[in-house]
Amino acid sequence: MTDGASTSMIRQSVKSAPSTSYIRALRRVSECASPELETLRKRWPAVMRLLVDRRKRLRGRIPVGDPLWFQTDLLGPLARTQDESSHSRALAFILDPRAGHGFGKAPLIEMLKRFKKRRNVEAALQLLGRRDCDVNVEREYHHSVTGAVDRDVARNDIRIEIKSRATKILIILENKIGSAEGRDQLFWYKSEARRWCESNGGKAILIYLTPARRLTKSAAGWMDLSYALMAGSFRRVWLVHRHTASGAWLALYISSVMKGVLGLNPKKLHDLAVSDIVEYLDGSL
Amino acid sequence: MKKWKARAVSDELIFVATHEDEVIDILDNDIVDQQTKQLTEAVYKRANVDAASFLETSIRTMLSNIGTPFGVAKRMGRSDWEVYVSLTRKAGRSTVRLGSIGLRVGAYRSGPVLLGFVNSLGGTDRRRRLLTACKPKMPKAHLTSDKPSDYPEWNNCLIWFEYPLSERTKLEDISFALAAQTKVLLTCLKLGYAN
Repeated sequence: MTDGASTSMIRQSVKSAPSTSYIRALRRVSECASPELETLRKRWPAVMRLLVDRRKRLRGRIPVGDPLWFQTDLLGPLARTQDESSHSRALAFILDPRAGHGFGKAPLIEMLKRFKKRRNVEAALQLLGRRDCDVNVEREYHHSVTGAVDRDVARNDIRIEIKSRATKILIILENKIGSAEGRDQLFWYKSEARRWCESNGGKAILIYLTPARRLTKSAAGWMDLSYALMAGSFRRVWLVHRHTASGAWLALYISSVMKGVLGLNPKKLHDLAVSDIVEYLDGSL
Repeated sequence: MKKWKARAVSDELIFVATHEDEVIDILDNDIVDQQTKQLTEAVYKRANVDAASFLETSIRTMLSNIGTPFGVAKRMGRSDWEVYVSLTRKAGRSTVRLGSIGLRVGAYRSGPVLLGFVNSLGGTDRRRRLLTACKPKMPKAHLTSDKPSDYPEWNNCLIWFEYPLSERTKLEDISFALAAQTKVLLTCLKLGYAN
């Protein structure tokens, strides 16, 4: 055998069977935790003490009789806690001043107040403050779509038209709990809103409601609203109407959102997410 | 030399999945000092990358075991620690969309798990019928609506695969279990959609 041939064989054997120590070293490198995690693990007991302390203080801020302490809720016994359609129905009822609950425009105003200083919201709040303004709430509003490959009809979860003689504002509320938005879904809704604005000379507000705020790349022009923030704004309405039948109904719905959708339970400290409770109570840390 | 099995998931993924609520609280609020927040961010980013790569590998394993009469769409949907694809079925010359099938990494009850789910069209009645068809061969299959406290923020789905994740979980083992369970699921779905 020539020297060249034996060298080639050695190279081949090296390629097919790396040494045990090399494999061990490779395994160690690929399986070890990052330095950031190692440092975080050392700090974690102190971090947990801080978090538990913050959660305890927040729990102390939830007043006795608040919907968060309720044993029962509206949608849980009906097994509809995560059902988007049931939530859209409930929201359309709450936000409609003509629905007969007696809250008037308060739920809509409280919800919009969460977006103060945002485009068109100030105008909507001013408009809602006027006596001659008319609010029309529609659920599952169908409209045609042109130019789409895979659909010819789109459907808004909740569509609210606020009108006076001089001003018109359209609010589209897209509600998502478990699923992600469909292909170009938000784009088509936005296009429909633009068309409405052009033909009515109005303004549009686009709201994307999800359990955790999660605006996607396709959501340009949309404002994100978390369920906790929305429940917090309804809580303000409930505080005024708590002794009425509609107030009791609203409290049960708030309980469905906070416990059912967001999984919060003030009785179990580890089930009390700080962000959600802060948004709900509308306080600052 | 003893065969080396690669780990399924990183320490970072296990850490974030185990302390999900705490990590989100830290990232969303100013509860801890800036340095701890930055460390948490770095760990969270690495966990996200690892979750995406682990789910990609796992769903390829799952898809490779889906055969006739079922089919899947080419386009995959992805959201936080979840990947899914449209499930279809041949019905004569046409193809009927049945819903979506996917995988999700999450922390439920006892710790981090890989979950396999089917989000079927046709309402609660259809999902119940699917569950009935699955029960004989998959006793642990259940609907998320039956355990709402375990699955907040979920649509009503059929859970057909549940594999606990830890630092010791091997990718080869999980792929083997997933492939086997996918085949069982499809046998059950044939029955469920035939009814």
